[in-house]
Amino acid sequence: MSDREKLERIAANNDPQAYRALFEKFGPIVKAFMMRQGTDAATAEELAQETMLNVWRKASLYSLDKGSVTTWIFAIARNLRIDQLRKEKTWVELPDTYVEQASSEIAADEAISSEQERQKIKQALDGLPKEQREVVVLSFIEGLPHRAIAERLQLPVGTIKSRIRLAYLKLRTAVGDPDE
Amino acid sequence: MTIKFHPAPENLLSCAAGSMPEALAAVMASHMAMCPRCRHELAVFDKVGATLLEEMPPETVGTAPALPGSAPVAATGGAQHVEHGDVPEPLRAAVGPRLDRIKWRRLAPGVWFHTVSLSEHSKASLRFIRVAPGLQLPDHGHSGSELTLVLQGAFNDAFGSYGVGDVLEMDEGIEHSPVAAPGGDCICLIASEGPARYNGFLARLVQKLTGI
Ligand SMILES: [Zn+2]
Repeated sequence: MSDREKLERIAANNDPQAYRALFEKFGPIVKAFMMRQGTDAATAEELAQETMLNVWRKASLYSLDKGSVTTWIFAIARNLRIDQLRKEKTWVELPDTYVEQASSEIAADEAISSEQERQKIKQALDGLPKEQREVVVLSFIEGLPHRAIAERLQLPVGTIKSRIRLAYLKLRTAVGDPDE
Repeated sequence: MTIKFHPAPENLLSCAAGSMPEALAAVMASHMAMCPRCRHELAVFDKVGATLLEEMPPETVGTAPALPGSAPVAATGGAQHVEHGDVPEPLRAAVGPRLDRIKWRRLAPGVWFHTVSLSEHSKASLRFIRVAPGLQLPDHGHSGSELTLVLQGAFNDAFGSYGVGDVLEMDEGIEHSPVAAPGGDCICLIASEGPARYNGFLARLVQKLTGI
């Protein structure tokens, strides 16, 4: 059963087995993600549980146009980390805030294309020069702003920005050209 | 609304990463509320985050806690509560839906502002600024990165002409003297990094305008 089907079962039948399966898959990596922001294991575990509880509660709000289940869970975990660990306001909302038009057209081949896309992103990440991958990981996983990355690596902020920019362009072309 | 100036790629990535300083993230979120193109870019980079999350070496967790008795939230059928107003959605909780109802404080003739409160430890500031049409602001430097989003009217400076939805990024050390376009008041949302009280945009502006 795919993650998406599990989520649908939670939404349709409050299926606790489907929930446990999702928890076993995502709980451990979300906990690891929380710990990288610099918190202890106990707090990280609480936040992983809270992330998954959000998944349970909001399962019926999830739909195809929100990307893969992992993407949705990542966004929930990211915002919880800003709110609970950094104690800052989360301005950037979850993907469910805006109801985009033209979501029906992606429904049919969605499962296949999102797996292909995932592979492409993974390849693009693996293909980044070491110093570009480093700044991407420091941004996403450690949650460090440009200035903090610059301090960590003892480089000018401008260098960090240009590395992230280069990484962005390479990662971006992996999922189609930007429509500018 | 045709947006000409979008945020820089490195800011879009950090926004998806959840690593932006809070004040800058507020401007980014407000731009995205107005810009389908950047919402799409954010969605792409959420996927990058998901891919990196999947690669995390897992930590041991206890068993799934007992689920709450409460049933999951019922789907709303996409009918979201939409309030009318010209304040970007993310900022409505702070200042309400309408720009003309913001509690403006007069800074100088033709210049008003309103500060949005952030978390206590934030080292940046977030402000709305309103400038009368045709008014030129004096040259002012910037002590840290600054992000400006136009919400109403337009302004020009040596670098370009900015209308509603456009984002202007100013790096440390750059000076500019924007002129509000004729017509209505120009209203912008500005996030400034760094200790705003002494070196911030408004402090310098007051200094220039009042000669203190
Ligand atoms: Zn944009």
